[in-house]
Amino acid sequence: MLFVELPRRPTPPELLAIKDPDAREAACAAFVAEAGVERFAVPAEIASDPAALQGFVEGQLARFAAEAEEIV
Amino acid sequence: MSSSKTQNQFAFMGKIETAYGTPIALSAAADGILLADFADVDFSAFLNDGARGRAPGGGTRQRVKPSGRVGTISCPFEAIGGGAAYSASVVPSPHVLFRASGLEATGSFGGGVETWKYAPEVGPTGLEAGTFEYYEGGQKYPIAGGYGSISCSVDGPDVPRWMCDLLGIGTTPTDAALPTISGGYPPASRLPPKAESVALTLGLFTAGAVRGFEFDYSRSHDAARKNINSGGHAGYTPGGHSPTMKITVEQVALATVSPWSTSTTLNPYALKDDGQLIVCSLAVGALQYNRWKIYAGASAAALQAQVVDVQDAYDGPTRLWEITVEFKPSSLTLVDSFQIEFN
Repeated sequence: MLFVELPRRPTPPELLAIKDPDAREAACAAFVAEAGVERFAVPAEIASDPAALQGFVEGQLARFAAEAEEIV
Repeated sequence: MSSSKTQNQFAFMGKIETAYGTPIALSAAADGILLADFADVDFSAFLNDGARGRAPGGGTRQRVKPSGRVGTISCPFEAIGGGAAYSASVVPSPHVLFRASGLEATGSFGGGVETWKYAPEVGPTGLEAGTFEYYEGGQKYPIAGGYGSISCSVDGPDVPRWMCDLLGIGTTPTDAALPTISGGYPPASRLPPKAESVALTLGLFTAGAVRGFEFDYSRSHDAARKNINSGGHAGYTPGGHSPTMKITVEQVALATVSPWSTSTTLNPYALKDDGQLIVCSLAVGALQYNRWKIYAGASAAALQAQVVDVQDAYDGPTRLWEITVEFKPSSLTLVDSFQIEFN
């Protein structure tokens, strides 16, 4: 079985741009923990195909983005 | 002129099946799996060898044809990280071998802290198997419904060597040109992390000079499903697992009170005597997206390891312990005894 855990909000670019790798990881981890993640079980026919899995991930992230816009 | 077949090259491909035991087409452009050396292949066994007993006049009777070819491919490999932020398409090099070995894969894609984690799974519905094709000596060795079990070891500051022992429904080997793998292999320039600064946590002990380790998932998967209505062989059903880690570490001062470890002292004898559940985590590599760790439980801080054996040893004048720990589930029903994490 394959699962994906997706962040409910994308990490801000300024955190990803922190030069020190340890500081960047710590800052990103704190942001992701605060934003929350959702876990999905991936259907077998998608899990065996990287392109289909990529589409699945992008679809879920787009749904999160749309939900965030509705909230705003 | 040289011989017509040579033992100089090999190639390996594999992909997770969508329906167990039904072979799927493999592509050299996507499904390469990088091995560290030639695999150990055995396609000689059958579930039934066709023997019919003795002839009345002496000797043995003519056999019927054998049924149910068994294919085994024991694959040596290295664990090479994705080299970039993990995603649906950026995976560690052993991704398919781990999944076929009964490890549930979880891709976690939080920006800046992306990981792939692999944890045991016993099924029945979630278990994954693969179609695999191994090429050497100008021949192709295919298996379907391939299940595996993994192990890993290193002695000294070397690249840890993993093994995946695959077992599946074998097909008669055929002559085949070596495929030109153009997808699935990591780039040649991406090197695996070495075991030269292994970070070991055993209980509270973190100051260990680690000499080597051996990890073994020990999944049983050799129960053949004999099938007399369709070809004789319906594959396998994996059984349980008993993950263990044997760590060779230089001896230090004995901790004198429970919990039998501090950051600089350790008492593995007392840990065994007490049967305490402790933390056991071992990390290899330091570079993000090309490092991995094995730990007891669902997190690196879980108290889910038990010392089950302690042997005194030495290397010249240096005293060593060979400490064997077993990884335990957190409850009687959960399947969470260990995890392998690439981050």
